[in-house]
Amino acid sequence: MHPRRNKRVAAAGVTLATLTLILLVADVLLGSEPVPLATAWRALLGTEQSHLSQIILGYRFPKAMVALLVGVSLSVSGLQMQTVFRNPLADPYILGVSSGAGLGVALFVMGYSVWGTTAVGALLASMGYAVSACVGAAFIMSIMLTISMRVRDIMAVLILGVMIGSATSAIISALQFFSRETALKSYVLWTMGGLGNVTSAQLYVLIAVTLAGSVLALLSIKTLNALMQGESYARSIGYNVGKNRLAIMLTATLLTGTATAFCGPIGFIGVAVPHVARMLIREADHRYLLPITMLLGAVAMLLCDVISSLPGYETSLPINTVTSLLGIPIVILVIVRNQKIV
Amino acid sequence: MAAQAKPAIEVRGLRIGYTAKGVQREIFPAFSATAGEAELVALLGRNGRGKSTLMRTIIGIQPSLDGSVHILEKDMRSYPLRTLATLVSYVSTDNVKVGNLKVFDLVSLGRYPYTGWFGTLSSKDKEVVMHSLAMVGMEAYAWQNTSCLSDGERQRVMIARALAQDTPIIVLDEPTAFLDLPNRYEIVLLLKQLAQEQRRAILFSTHDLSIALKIADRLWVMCDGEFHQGAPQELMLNSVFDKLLQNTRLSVDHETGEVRVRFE
Repeated sequence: MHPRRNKRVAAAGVTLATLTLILLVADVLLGSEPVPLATAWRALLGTEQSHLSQIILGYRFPKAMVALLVGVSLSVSGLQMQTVFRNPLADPYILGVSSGAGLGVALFVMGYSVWGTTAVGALLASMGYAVSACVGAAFIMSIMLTISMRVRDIMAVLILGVMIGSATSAIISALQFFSRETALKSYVLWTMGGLGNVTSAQLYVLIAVTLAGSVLALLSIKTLNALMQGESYARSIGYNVGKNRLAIMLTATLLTGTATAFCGPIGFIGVAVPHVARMLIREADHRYLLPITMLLGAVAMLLCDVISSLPGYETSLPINTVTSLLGIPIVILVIVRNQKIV
Repeated sequence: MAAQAKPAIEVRGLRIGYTAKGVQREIFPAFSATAGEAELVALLGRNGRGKSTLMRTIIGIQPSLDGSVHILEKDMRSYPLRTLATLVSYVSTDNVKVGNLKVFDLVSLGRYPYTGWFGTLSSKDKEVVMHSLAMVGMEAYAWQNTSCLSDGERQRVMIARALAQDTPIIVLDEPTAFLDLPNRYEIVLLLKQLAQEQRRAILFSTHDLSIALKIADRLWVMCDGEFHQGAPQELMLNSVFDKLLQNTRLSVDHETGEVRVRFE
């Protein structure tokens, strides 16, 4: 058998896990006001009571957790979409699924009355964001899935995805035009997104969904491998393609929808991270690729968050700006490399 | 030719085609055919006659309009999908390109009907994978990337994948397409050997008339609305190939089986 491959993947796994930890700490410590490690530690233990501990507990630590969770969510759903669509550039952002989530949120925000400020009300409101985003994402996902089953040319599918994403954004703009001022304000706040505006109620929902989605994704590893070769092969080795494809896309929708509901649309993590994972371990088997993609997703998102709020500046860069600047070169590299295949 | 043992594939009054918006579009009229154990069967027919549709119907990807396909003497629709996967394996014309996919991993996909929830291979599964690669002469390539293979090598690997699935029946859609002449013969000879030595029923579609005539045990021929089956010589005597090559400037030499061109 092949002795080196497990070692190589394990080495990548350990390195990425260590990097996740380091970046998590860095993300908590660094910001417009850097915090010393000892102070941050005491704040987390609850023995430090100062404005610094408030920054740590109320803002930085939750934000770092959100970065980690969203990184995992978007990367996993990117990998799932790439395999199921059999398209190296499939990703929730490019194929308009994130816009679909935005449409869901827009309809929810502009439609709902005030939920109240009680803890239950806050939880319900965050659930409302999440559910409406997931429904919107599922809507676009089902359109794209139908298209990809009929259109063989992967570039045509991508262009259609971009078109549908733009159409969705146009509908949202129209909705904004007709909506009341307060609703408009909360929607615009949402589109600006960011990892730091997540309430603790939302954080719990995010943790639950990311955990559930990751477990479901890990359970679908064999199916993803079976689907890798396309419909007829998957069926010939005993897979009901329709049912399995739907189950995997539901997971991807849940992950993207929830992450987008709370942080706004974040681009290029979903498409870029699985490719970096492939370059790193040189494997296509999802038993290796999926766990490495998860870890790398966490690392990538934490890194983007660290970059977006580097010390010395009062404000931080929008997270979507950083993910785009880091992700787009990788997408371009993939397109150039794929020229022979596409 | 090989004495007809148990029929592995039995096509009974099968009508293939599509149903769109409640309207049936027949591609080929009802016909019956058999393929026996240890038989190498070549499916011949011109473009658009429905060879691929027939293949897809036989492996169950596409429902038939009428009639049935019996696999090992039972209607294939009565098998659960997983059981069917242990009886029929398939090699399609799709050129699957997945970056970084190792030859070993590709072939081990054939073991999926036998592995558990995570698809972890037992030591027996790994043995079967390596043995399948050895049977097609590709064991040295086990740890290479599939993207680095030539067309002939890739076809061998795809056949190994079907062998790893360990099914009594293998169906291949144009396995000789895109190959050079020696490779075409090599692949069909390999199929012949696998059929004989391992008593598998192997059905493949092809446009290589002379190769099929020389090597296959039985031919299935889809002419214009007519279906013919039988041993190559038998079909030759019945002038089936003249029907196949109707309205072309080609004919088949009844002595040698070679294709002849008429220059006007």
